[in-house]
Amino acid sequence: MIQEMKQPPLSPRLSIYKWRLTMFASIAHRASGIFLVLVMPLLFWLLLSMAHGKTTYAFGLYWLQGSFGTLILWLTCVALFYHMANGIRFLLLDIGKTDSREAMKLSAKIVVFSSIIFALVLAIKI
Amino acid sequence: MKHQDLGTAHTGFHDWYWQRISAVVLLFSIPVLMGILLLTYNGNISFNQLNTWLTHPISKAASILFLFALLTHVWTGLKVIIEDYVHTTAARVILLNILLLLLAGFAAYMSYHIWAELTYTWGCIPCEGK
Repeated sequence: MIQEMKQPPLSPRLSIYKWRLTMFASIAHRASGIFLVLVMPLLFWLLLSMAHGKTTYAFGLYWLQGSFGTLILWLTCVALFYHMANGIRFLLLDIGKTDSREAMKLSAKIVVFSSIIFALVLAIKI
Repeated sequence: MKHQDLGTAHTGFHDWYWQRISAVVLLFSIPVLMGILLLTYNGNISFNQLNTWLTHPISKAASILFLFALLTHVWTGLKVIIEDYVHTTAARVILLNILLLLLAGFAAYMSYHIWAELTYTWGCIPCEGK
């Protein structure tokens, strides 16, 4: 007991909780965030480079339209959609609009399922 | 609503606040950016259009605003993640400092690129023939 008191519990303690959708939504927000950190600066740099030189434009278009570029673009759009939807959910929580447990469960459902639909539609359209 | 207990550095509120501010900026700018990228990908935006739009002074100013909002958001977000999961103080401090240097470097590089177009002749991977 004393030993336990000396060592405060440290995150991540995923194994002790029962998995729930709200928990998944929160972790997926971090995961998509880390993915976007790796991709967004690169895409921003690519877009600006494409706007500034004909050769770069041709190279960027060739890369984007290849299978790897398309996959990255699809993944980025899905991660962005999820991160933004869940981000709006968190902002609404911050201003006290979705304080209740029911509201958080419902909004998590809306965010996750709309992201899945968005991912499927984009996979067909892209 | 500001809390009185700000911690030893008295900056407890800043990260949370700037994360939200940058989030709102990104909420409006990222759809525009991804829209342009997707339209370019689909072949709907030619080089001349893209060049005209993104070299306009207004879009340069917007790019700078977007860049700093993005990096503020990356910094506040990754800082929280690193502080949560890296438990050794030395490793945490070193990681945060490396991250800050990388972000500052990227900010400087991109700001220079956005305003001084001349650097595109050597700053890109497939360089223009100059």
